[in-house]
Amino acid sequence: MVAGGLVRVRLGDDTTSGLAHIVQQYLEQDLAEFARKRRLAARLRGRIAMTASDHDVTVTLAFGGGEIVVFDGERLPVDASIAGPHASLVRLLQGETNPLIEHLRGRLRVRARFARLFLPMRLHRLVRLDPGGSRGA
Amino acid sequence: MADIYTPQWYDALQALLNRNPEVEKNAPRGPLKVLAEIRGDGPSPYVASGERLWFVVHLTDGKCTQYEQVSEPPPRREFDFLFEVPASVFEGVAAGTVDPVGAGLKGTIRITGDMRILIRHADLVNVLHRVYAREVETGWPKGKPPYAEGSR
Repeated sequence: MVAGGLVRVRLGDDTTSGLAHIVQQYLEQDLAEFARKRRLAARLRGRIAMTASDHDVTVTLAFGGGEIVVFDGERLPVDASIAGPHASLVRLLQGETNPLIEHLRGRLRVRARFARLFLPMRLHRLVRLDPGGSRGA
Repeated sequence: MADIYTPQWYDALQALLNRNPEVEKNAPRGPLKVLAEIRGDGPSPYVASGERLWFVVHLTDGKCTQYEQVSEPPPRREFDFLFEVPASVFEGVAAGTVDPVGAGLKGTIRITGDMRILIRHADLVNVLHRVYAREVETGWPKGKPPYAEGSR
């Protein structure tokens, strides 16, 4: 896989939740538009779980070079996790804030293994909306 | 008060959307075309099991220019978003008994489209929910959700 080239985004087997479908479509669309994000995605390794705690829905994103797989639930072993009300997760995606600030403010619970300490921040750099993205300002 | 799924009900919704400044404030600029596919799933007394109905919603710069039911499904490629919703869930949203965000996250409501628009304008979902659940007066001639288990 060439950095900046194709990064496949797919759903894991038996993955049916709406959150997984939304994340899969979102990443696929965003990576198709931005080479910078494709390069970033290609460098990411590990698994990170995201939980909308107010709706009891969790997905796990597994990064493996040329592919991102979105699974329902927490797919162990995870290297990091971000959990909180869906509105706080949306604010992260909108780029209004970042996981560290939200964790310190107590609005999100962010955890990471020591070896993947920066995975939540790297994920955030990948998934936050770009101002120049679809229907952006 | 207009009964659900009648032209008068769609007209009332369109008028409410256009009177609500929060819709205009939170909607994306330019045109936005949404197709909703309502699938009869058993409990609904309005949409028989297996039956489907479609309605289209067009917004332009936050103003609703079309809100109507159509007899045949238009080509999906013409739309920015497709919402596939079981009838009992859609009627639950209209009655204020179902949270559309939760239904969307769990996959009960299936959403296809440009997710970047959806995320950027996420507050619009909450505004639309308020319009459906609290502002429009919906008539329920065959009964109102939540439906009894095993109904129909």
